[in-house]
Amino acid sequence: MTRVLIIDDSSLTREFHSHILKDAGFICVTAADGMEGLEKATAEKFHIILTDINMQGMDGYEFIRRARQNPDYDEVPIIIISTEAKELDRQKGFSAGANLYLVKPTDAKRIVESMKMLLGTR
Amino acid sequence: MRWPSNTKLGEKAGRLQQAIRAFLNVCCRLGPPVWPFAKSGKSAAPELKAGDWSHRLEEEKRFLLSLVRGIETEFLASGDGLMRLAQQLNGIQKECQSLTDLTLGQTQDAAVQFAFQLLKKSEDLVLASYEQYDHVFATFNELQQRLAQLSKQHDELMRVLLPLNFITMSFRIEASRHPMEVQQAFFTLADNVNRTVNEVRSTLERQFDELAASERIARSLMEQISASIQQHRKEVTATLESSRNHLRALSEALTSSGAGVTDLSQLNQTVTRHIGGIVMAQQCQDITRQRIEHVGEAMDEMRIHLGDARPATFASNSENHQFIFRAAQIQLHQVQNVFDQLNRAADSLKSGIQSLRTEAGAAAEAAVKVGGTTLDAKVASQCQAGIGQILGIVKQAVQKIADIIAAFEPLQASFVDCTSKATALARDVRHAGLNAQVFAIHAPDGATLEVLAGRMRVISEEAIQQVGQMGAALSHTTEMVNNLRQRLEDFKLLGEAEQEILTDESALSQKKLSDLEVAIPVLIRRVTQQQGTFAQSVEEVLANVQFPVTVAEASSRSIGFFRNLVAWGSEGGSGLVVESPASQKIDLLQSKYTMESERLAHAAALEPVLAPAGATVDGSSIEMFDDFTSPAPTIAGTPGEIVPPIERSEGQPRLADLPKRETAPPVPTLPPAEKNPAASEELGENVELF
Repeated sequence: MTRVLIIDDSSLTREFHSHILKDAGFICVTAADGMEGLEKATAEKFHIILTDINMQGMDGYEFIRRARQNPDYDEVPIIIISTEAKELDRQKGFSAGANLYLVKPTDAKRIVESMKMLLGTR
Repeated sequence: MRWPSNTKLGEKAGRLQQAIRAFLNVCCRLGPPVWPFAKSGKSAAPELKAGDWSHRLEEEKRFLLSLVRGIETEFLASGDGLMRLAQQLNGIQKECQSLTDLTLGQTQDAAVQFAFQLLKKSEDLVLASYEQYDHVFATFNELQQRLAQLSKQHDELMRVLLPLNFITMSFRIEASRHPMEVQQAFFTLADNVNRTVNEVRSTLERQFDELAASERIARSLMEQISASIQQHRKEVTATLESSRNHLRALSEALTSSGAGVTDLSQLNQTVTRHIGGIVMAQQCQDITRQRIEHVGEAMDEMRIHLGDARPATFASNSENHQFIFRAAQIQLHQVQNVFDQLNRAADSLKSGIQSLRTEAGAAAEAAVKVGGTTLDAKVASQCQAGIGQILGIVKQAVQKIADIIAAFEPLQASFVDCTSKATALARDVRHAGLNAQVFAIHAPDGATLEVLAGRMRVISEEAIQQVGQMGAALSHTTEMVNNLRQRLEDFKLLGEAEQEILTDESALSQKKLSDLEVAIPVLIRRVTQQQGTFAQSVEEVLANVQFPVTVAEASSRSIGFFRNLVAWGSEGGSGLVVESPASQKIDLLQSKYTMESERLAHAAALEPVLAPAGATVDGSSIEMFDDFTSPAPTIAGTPGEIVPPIERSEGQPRLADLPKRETAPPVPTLPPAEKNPAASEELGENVELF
C-alpha cells in the first residue's frame, strides 16, 4: 500500500485530502505544519507527500527544502497544493524541490490522477 | 450660521444648539425607526474614542477569527455529513449494480434467457414429434395402399389357383381308366394338390384377415393420434405463447426495473458531482482563514497605534490617524473580498445542497420505478408453470410415439407371417404339380395325365410367381413398417433423453426464476431503504448548514464595523502623504500578506489615493480562485455621505469647524440594501446646519 503524508494547517483540507486518498487506496498520515511533517517523515517512510505552502511555523517551501536534504526523500514525489496561483509561487515551489504544483481548490480526481502519474502507477 | 457667544442670544442659541445636537445624537443612536435619516450601525461609531476603537478592534478580531473557526467546524461537520452521503451513495451504487446485473446482466441471462431457451427446446421437441407423426401418417397411407394392392394380388392368386380344382377332378377321371395301383397313386396326388390349394386359400384368407385387422387397429390409432395431435397443437401453441408472454413480461419488467436502476445510477453520479462541487466550495475556507488571520494581524497593528494615542492627543496625531484610516480602508477591502468569496461559496453550497435535495427526490422516484418490478417478478411463477405444461406435452408426444410403435408390432408380424406362409404354400403347389408330371411320365398310356400334370405345373408356377409378387410387396411393406418403427424408436429414445434433460433444466430454470423472484424484491427493498436513508441524511446535512446565514450576518457586521472605522479615521487621516511614516507602515502591512490577491487588494485600496485623480481600480487584476472569481469591490463615494454627528471631546474642533477636505478619501460603496443616500445626505445637511 502506498503511504502518503499530507501537510496542511487547515484541518478541513487535511480531512478532505485524507478522505479522497483513503478512498483511492492510499494510507494517509497528516501533519498540521512543515515541522510536524518533517518529524513524521523522519519517523516513517512515505512514498509521496502532499503539502500546503502558507502554514504557521515552517512553511511548505522550507519543508520541501529540508525534506530534500534527507536522502530518504531526495526522490520521493512532493506535490504542492496551495492557494497561491502566481507563476512566481510556482517557480519557488519547483525551486524548493516540488514535483508538481496544484492550486486550490482541487478536485479529488485531479489529485489522485496526479499522484498516480507521479508514482508511475498509471 | 453662527451666533456670537458673548451675547445672551448667543448663549441661548448655543444651549439650543447643544440640545438639538444631543437630540440628534439620541435619534441617530435609536436608528431609522425613530430617525429616518440615521444609518443603522453607524450612529454610535463616530462617537467612540481611540480607546473604544482599540477595544472594538480586539472584539472584532476575535469575532472574525471565531467566525472562521466556526465555519471550519461547520465545514468539518458538513464534510463528515457529505462523506457519509458519499458512502451511502457508494452503497446504493453497489446495490444498483447488483440489481443491474440481476435484471439486465448475466444473472438475468441465466434465468430469463435460460427459461426462453428451455421453452425453445421444448417447442423443438414437440415440433419434432409432430414430424414423426406426419411421417407415421404418410407411411400408414402408403401401407393402406399396399394392402389394397396385396388384396388384389390375393384375389389374382385365388383366380390362378381356381383351375386346379377342375384339373384335379380331370386327373381323377383320367386316372380311373388306369390300373388300380396307378389309379390310387394319382388319386392321392390329386388329393394332395386339392389339400394344398385349399390350405393356400384358407391360410392366405386368414393372413389377409389378420392383416386387415391389424390395419384397422393401426388406422383407429392413427385417427386417435391425429385427433389428439390437433388438440396438442392447439395446447402447445397456447402454452408456448402464454409462457413466452410471461417471460416477455418478466423480461420487460426487468428491463423497466433496469432502466430505473440506470436512472438511479446516473442520479448517483449527478449527486456525486454535486457533493464534489460542495467540497470544492468548502475549500474556500482555507484561503479565507488565511486572509482573516492577516486581517487580524493588521488589526493588532492598528490597536498598537490606537493604544499609543492618548485620547487627548490622538486627534492631533495625524500620523496615527492616517494609519488607522488607511489601514481600516485596506482591511475593509480585505474583509469585503473575504465575504464576497464566502458569499460565493455560500451560493455554491446552497445551490449544491438544493441540487442534492432535488436529486434525492428524483432518486426516490427512480427507486419507486425500480420497485415496480416487485409485482411483475411474480411472472416468474407463471413461466415455471408454463414450462411444466410444455414438459407434460413433450412427455405425451413421446408416449404417443411409443403407442404407435406398439400398434405396428402385430401388423408387422402379420406381414412377415403372411409372406412366409404364402411362399411355402406356392412351393407346395409346384411340388405337387411336379410329382403329378413325374407320375404321368412313368404311367403307361399316361400321355393325357402328363398333359394334365403339365397344366397343373403351369398353374403352380403362376401361383408361385403371384405369391412371389405378393411376397415382394409384403417384404417392401414390412421394410417400410420396419423403417418407420426404427425411426419411431430412435425418436422415442431421443425424446426420452431430451425429456430427461428438459426436466433437469426445467428444475434449474425454476430455481433460477425463483431465485430471481426472491432476490429482486430483496435488492429493491435494500435500494429503496438506502435511498430513504440517503434522503434523510441529505436533510440532516441541510439542517446543519448554517454557514450562508452566518456569513450574511457576519458580513453585514464586519463590513459595517470597518466602514465606521474608516469614517472615524477619515476625520484626521484622509490626507495621506505618500512618503509619511504612516504610509510606510501601511506598506509594511502589505508585506505580511502572503497571498497575491491580498497584496492586490491592499494596492487597490491605496491606488485612488496615490494615483492621479480620476484613475480607477482594475478589479479584474485581483486574483481569485478560478471557480470563485469576481471583480474586486469598486471604490467610489465620499466620506461625507456617511459622516454622522460627532460628540466632540473638550478641545476638539467641531465638525462644522473642521476645514473642508480638498480631496475626498475613498470609501467603498454600500451594498444596495444598505444604501440610503437620501437619508445620509439629509443627515449630513442637518449636521452641517449646526
